[in-house]
Amino acid sequence: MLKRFIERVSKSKKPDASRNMFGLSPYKWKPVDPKEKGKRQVLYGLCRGCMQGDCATLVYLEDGIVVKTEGNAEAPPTYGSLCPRGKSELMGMYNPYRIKTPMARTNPEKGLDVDPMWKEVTWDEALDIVAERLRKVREKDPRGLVLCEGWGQRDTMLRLPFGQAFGTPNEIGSHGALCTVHYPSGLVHAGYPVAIVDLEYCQYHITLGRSLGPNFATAPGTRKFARAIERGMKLVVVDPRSSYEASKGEWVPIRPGSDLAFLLAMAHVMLFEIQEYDMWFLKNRTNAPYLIGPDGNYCRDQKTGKPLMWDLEENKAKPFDAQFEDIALNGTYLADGVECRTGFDVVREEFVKYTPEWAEEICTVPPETVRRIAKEFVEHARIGSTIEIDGFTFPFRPVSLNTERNVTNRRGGTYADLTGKIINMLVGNIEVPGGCLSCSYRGPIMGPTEDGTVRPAYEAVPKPFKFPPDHIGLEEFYPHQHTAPHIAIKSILDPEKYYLDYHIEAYISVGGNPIKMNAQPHTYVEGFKKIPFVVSIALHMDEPAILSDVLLPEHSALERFRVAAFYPQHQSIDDEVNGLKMIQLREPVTPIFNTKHVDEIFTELAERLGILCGEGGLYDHLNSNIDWVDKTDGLNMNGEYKLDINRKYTLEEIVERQIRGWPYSGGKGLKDLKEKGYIAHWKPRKEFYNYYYFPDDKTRHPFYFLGLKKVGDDLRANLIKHNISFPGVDDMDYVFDLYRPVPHWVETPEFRAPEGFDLWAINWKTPYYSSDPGNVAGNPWLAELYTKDPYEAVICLNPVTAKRKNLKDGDMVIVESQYGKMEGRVRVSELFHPDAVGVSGNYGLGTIQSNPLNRIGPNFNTLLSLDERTFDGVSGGQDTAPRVKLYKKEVPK
Amino acid sequence: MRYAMVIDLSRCVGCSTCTVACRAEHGTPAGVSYNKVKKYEVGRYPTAKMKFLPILCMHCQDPACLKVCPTGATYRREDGIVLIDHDKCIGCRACVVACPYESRQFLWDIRNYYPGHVPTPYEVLKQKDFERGTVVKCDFCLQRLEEGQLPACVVACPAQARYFGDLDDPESEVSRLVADYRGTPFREELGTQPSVYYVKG
Amino acid sequence: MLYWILIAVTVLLSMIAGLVFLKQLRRGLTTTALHDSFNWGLYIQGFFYLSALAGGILVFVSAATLFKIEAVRPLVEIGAAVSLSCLICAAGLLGADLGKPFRGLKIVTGKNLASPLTWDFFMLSLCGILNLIFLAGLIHNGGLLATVWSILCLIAALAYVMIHTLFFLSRVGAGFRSQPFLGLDTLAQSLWGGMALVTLISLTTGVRESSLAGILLILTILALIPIAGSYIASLTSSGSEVDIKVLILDTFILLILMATTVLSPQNAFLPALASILILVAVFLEKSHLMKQYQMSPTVPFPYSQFDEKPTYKPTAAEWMLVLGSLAACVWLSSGIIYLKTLVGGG
Repeated sequence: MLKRFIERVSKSKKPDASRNMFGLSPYKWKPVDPKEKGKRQVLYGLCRGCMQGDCATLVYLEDGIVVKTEGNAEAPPTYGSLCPRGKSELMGMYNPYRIKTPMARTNPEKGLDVDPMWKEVTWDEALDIVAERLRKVREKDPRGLVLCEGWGQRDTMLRLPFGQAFGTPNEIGSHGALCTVHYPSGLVHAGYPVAIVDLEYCQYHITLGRSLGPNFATAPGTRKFARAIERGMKLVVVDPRSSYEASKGEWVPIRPGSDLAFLLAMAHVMLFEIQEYDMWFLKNRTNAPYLIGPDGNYCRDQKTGKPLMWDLEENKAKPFDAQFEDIALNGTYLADGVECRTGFDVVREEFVKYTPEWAEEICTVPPETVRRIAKEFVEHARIGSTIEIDGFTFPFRPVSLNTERNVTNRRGGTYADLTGKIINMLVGNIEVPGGCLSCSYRGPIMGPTEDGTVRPAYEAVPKPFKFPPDHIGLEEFYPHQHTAPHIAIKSILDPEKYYLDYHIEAYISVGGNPIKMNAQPHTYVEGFKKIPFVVSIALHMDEPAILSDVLLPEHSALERFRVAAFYPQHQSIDDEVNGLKMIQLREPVTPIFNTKHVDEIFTELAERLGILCGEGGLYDHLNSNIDWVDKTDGLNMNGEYKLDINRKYTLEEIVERQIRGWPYSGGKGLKDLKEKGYIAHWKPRKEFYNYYYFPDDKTRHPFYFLGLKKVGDDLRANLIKHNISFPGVDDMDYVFDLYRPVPHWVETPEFRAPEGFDLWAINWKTPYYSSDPGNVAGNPWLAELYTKDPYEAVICLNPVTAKRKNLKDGDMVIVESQYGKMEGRVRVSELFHPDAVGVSGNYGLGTIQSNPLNRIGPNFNTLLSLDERTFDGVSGGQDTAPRVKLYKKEVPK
Repeated sequence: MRYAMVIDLSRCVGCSTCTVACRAEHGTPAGVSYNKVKKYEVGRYPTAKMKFLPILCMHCQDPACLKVCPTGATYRREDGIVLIDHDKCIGCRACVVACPYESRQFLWDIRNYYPGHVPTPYEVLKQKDFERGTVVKCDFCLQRLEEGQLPACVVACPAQARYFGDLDDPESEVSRLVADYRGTPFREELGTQPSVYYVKG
Repeated sequence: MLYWILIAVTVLLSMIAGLVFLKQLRRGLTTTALHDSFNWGLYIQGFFYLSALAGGILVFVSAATLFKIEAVRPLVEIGAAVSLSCLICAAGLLGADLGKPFRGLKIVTGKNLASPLTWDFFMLSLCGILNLIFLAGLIHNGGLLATVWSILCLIAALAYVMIHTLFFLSRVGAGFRSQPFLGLDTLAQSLWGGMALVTLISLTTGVRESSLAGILLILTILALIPIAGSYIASLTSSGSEVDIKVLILDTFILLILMATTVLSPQNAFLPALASILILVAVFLEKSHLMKQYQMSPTVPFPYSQFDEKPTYKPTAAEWMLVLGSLAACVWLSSGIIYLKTLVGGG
């Protein structure tokens, strides 16, 4: 379908007149600057083709034109390799559909198919208009401004302090609501964003609902993956589809949306059938032996208030940090007259009913498979073994089970992730070589609280409650939320219903497109139309842009000056980057249009608003902010390099100070960075396993999730106190069922979908389409690939299912969930579970003025729900596998 | 000296970086690609798997294309690389029909990447290298080889599945791979003696 | 009168073809429906068709000269002209199919004797030269020159036909596209089509030769053998597709000719009808040949599992160019004959 469209359009001599007014006359590129003729240049680049954004590249120019981006063979993490998106980056720059100059709307009517009748304005005019409107908003109520960020713009350091200086709490992300994978790792590992696998040593890896690298072709991930597989690592992929990664290991097909059942069953097998645990780990590094009272809280020592454990030798309860002869992992005991049980027993008791036979009904995985995998997992864990790295002895547990978004994103998804943690903890592989590591900052972050358990970090730190709420995404009601564009849009549309006492008056889009990348596009469009003033710092005419009042065009990725701290582990780690601390440089290509760097825009706006300098201003906040993910290892304004908050700086000046203040730069600056394009510092590898900082029994990972219970109890108390129901959900038990300290089986509403919705739609990222920075769907080089790929932009069906529905390859079908519908061509494939309807990437939607490629293809996200009852109440995550029905589209002859 | 490539099919993850790397290196016009990755399935549910086969010009030692080219535009160098002299090519497409590996493409037209638009500055620069009405194909990145670099697809592959070297040198990596893993060319039975070998497939 | 209308129409068609060619020079081969999975279409089909006819006629002409068959001398004279014009038009079509038509003569400098196209070029050129020699009136019935000339013609024509069998159609791609019956098929189609044209010429010139229908019958059987054989083979295995239309048409022609030879040998209409049908049948068979080679993906299953099946529906421009070339044969041969009558006598 796509290929034919492209062929048809390209064969005609005249531009396709059926297209939009914006693109009616082809853009006349400016001729090459004669001064550039004959010149050859190589710049250091930093790819921004996907969300990772840390592949080191070289950008080649001839005659001032970018002719090639190539992996930098000398530089980590990719040592010369790249991915299809990185290689196609220059087409994102030479894109005639880009916004080329600031514009203001003259047509008051807004819609995806409505011509805004743009008027070109100068930068000063545009910035003045925006600043004036924002000033009014700030005077009335600074909370009225929403800043929506996304993967499209990750090269900014001033967006966050801008919002802080403005005084709005409402920075939301367009991404993440479909990928709420952070809470359990923040709770158990004190890490962020997720837990990954040590591909250097792992022998047996079970992966669910995620990618290690090849599934969406991240270059560093794929490098590590290929080496691990060649080394002989066994890979088990539990997935409704036989993905790229599943094809390299063992594929365990599973019904979509039912991973919680599988995980509960696997844990059951480990707890009741195999019963081989890392006893030492459980007793010394988890709160499994803590005594739990009948109210579900810790039994605490009368004197010290510390949680108690039972000493089997001395036959009494003692505070956890006392000397123990033999810690009891099991048993019911009397402590201070209260009958309490060990956390381990409480957890184990819950799991007794989750047999593999029970699970098979729900997830279709055969019980023998569950048992075998659990057995192999435990066998390969080599409980009791150790390994020496850099002179330090670590426990060695070369197994890991990791889950991400297609497991966590539905009601009960947090429990699924937590069950995965329990499975890992039973073999003691947390934060040790070969095992399950968090992919966060390396350092002493797993330190204990007064209760002896790992201090929760990142999103496991609950946001404080306030009523009426301040946050447009209702973080007061979802204290462990990740991002909440889906909640924000509903709050914008109906503030009263969501207890907000203010209205949103302005919206700045900074690389985020929740209209296309979330769910229910028409609801988002309504929300946007309701907001009186919308500004897009825009690359191309995407959905937020066409609904904007002012467009502030920004540089494409290649044109953005950037220095970033490297983040070595996204889906996995191995010796290629283990121990590496690095900052990377992107030397910008001269911009080809009248665009500005996003941080220039924020500087200008802040200055006009009077919030750039002075106390509480942008620079003040920048000085005091610490990198959210990398903490002190990130690029911060440190010590003597803090900014003078009373004068204006260029971006280079700020970056220079950040580099000099970076703990591992050795005082070097931008000039030194320009020599190789990166400055690297290799820490001893032992310091890359966070076990190192709190070894032995110095900290305890939560096995019994009291933290979750506490947050739930507090929230419930707050609701009662203010006499309100949970926003969008009348029955508060429905929500608090998800805040229990032991994971248990909960159903998603999709399980009880009405008659006729017999299949589940699933989605995945692909080598061409992971997230959408720089409009990958419209990139012609990538389009050439995805139009030819048999599994892209089609509706994939198992042959038995296709036969049952009388469908064959190439038929045009409509896929309909309870929330929306879309259409596409069928691809019959053996790679899919019979209950799955597979749609990759996120094509379609688009606007009347976009690249025509953006308007074609199946738009998966239309099928998703914004109904609170489908969310996971803890993370706020939306369900990525809605129930659907499928039928042939009647095509008029 | 006999240039050869070895592709490790167990490492290949079907991402098509090689295809785009080749495009990025040569600036081939829209729709033209010297490298392709064939994707297919083997087996049935529940044990079906995706499989990948990257194919390019095999630089055969006894090429079918060379035999049928009437003007001698297709020729083979001492080092094994098969090239096309674009001044001699008359665009008869006999070589395209003769090649069993889909390696060659005829330039029906030099189309722009953005349909309906004029060429981007990148295309203006690169389209000079292409002549409508002739046939094009992979040249093992001869220009890069002359500068001491490996072909673009080899360097870019994130799974490091591609190797390149001198098959006449028994110590070279490609020789070792072919020997250790029983590397075979694709469709060996056709007898064109390709210089691209596949292992672990 | 009818004759002049025919000339006018064919000239007009050829002029349209000329305009189409000019447009093609400007736009390249995108005026055709050809694409990466289907590289040779109507033009090459036309080329094969016309050169097959030319070869077939030349075989008849040289055989008639060699065996001194005086009765068919007028046919031979006209046949040579038709053969030459078919060759010229075939060359024109081939040139139209080239990406770089004006570099066509590089085939000569290429000197690649492994290439069937080179052989095509040389053999067809040889046929053309031999035709010219004949038309120049240098070859009379009888004599050593005539014998040598005839043998050269036979070699050239047969060699041209067989080149495609040995070197190309069965050897291309080291045989991966070879067909078992191709050799016989190509030879038979060429002789069959050539004789059909000769029969048509005989009917227009009034030279009645009763054995012509009989020869046509024999050649029909010869042409039918490989087609029927392919069909039977395809029933047993999932081999190449056989165009059932061609089989039916060929059988129908067989029946007509059988009826003619058995029932009314003197009938002029039936052989004429058969000849026209034969010309159509040969054209269809060439079309089938083109499709056969390109309808299945080059790279075998399972690698080509998801490749789209190639489709090819020639554009109007392509049809006009081919039609114009076929039309050109008519006025060209008339022109050559007219020139001959002007220059020489007889």
